[in-house]
Amino acid sequence: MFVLIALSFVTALIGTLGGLGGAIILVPVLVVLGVEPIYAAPLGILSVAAGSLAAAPRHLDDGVVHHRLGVTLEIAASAGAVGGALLGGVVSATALSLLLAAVAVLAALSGIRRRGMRNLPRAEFSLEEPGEWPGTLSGAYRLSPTEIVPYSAERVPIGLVAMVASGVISGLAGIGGGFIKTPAMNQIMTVPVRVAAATSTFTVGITAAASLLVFSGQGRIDYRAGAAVIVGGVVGGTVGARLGRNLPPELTRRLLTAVLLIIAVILVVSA
Amino acid sequence: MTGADAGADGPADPDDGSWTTTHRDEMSEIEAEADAQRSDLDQLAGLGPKGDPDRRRANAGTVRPGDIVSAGPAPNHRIGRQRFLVVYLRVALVLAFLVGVVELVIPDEHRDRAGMVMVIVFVVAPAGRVLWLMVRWLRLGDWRFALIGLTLLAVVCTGLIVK
Repeated sequence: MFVLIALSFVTALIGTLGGLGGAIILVPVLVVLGVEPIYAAPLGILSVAAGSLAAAPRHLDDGVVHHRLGVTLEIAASAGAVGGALLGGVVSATALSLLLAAVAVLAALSGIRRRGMRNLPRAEFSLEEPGEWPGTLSGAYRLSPTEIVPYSAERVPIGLVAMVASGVISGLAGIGGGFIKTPAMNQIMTVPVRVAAATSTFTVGITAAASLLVFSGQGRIDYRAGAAVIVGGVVGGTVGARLGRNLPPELTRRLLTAVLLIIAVILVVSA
Repeated sequence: MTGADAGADGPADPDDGSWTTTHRDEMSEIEAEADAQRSDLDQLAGLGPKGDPDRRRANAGTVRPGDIVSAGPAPNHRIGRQRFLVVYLRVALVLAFLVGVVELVIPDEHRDRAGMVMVIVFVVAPAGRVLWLMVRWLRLGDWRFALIGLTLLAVVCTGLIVK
């Protein structure tokens, strides 16, 4: 049990440093260590739920979560997650391992991809209060003390399709899906990456809740192991968030990419 | 539904007779909030609903041409409005952590019950957040997004009945 606490602590720490959460490393590592994917997935989802909960107060204080956008997109993601969690019970362990490997590679690629700044600050908005605008999928966020960036979510239907995909993968593999949600919101829907990341963190908590209900009904949750994951994950995530302020983001992102690629290779070989 | 489409009608007009006199007083602060959040400059970017620019500017606490502006950031009047939500989520996190610790040390026969509590915390925390947002949006007259929130909760609840 102490091994699982330590593992959760380390994976949450590394995952938080890289901005992808701990489950994306925890689940593949558990599978590599011999845990069956259908039992590793619920543990990953518990880690996701804890991570989302831990990050929420900070994001609310920063005022960067677009709740209306998150709730709108989350309908698709939660539906996908319920479907994915149901499918997880019938998909073979080998297929799930290969899916995890593909997910790890995708997450690694999303980590190394450089994102240009699509939304620029506008002088006429410099006195606008940052936040979401009622009744819309638009808003503004503060880039610097004197710069306000307005934005508006575009191509919502395509974004919804991406959310369904992230939900299915999340329910199947037990990972958060933030590595799909954040780029989808940013690249497809032109939402600023900071808002997209915070909104995504809010939504993965709901996706995790939907999956947890299914896993609980199926009796797939090992509660003692889950408790170890939560205890290690909450502490690791908190330490990681503090360390992250002092480490260069580029270095941590590259380290995380390397770790994920190694895990993907091990998963493919073991599958 | 694009952002511009979504903002076509915006929150309900408080003078349309849909709210009672009793509600009018307690809603005045919310109306001011809704007004403050919409800038007349939205129209320049084609992002938001139309309205009286002078009234919004006054409500938003922004400055007019000729006013002296400091180099620092404009005060963010939204800070503190979600304080309840922040406290609620912090309490939920601490509760989840404590349940996790307890679950590691209690005997096996009580473990399943504690595990259920842990799952309930992780389900109720985000669901309660969505519920809080729905109530807030309803009070703002933003019924469309309140309905979307309700749909989301219904989708999450399907996890209870499918196995």
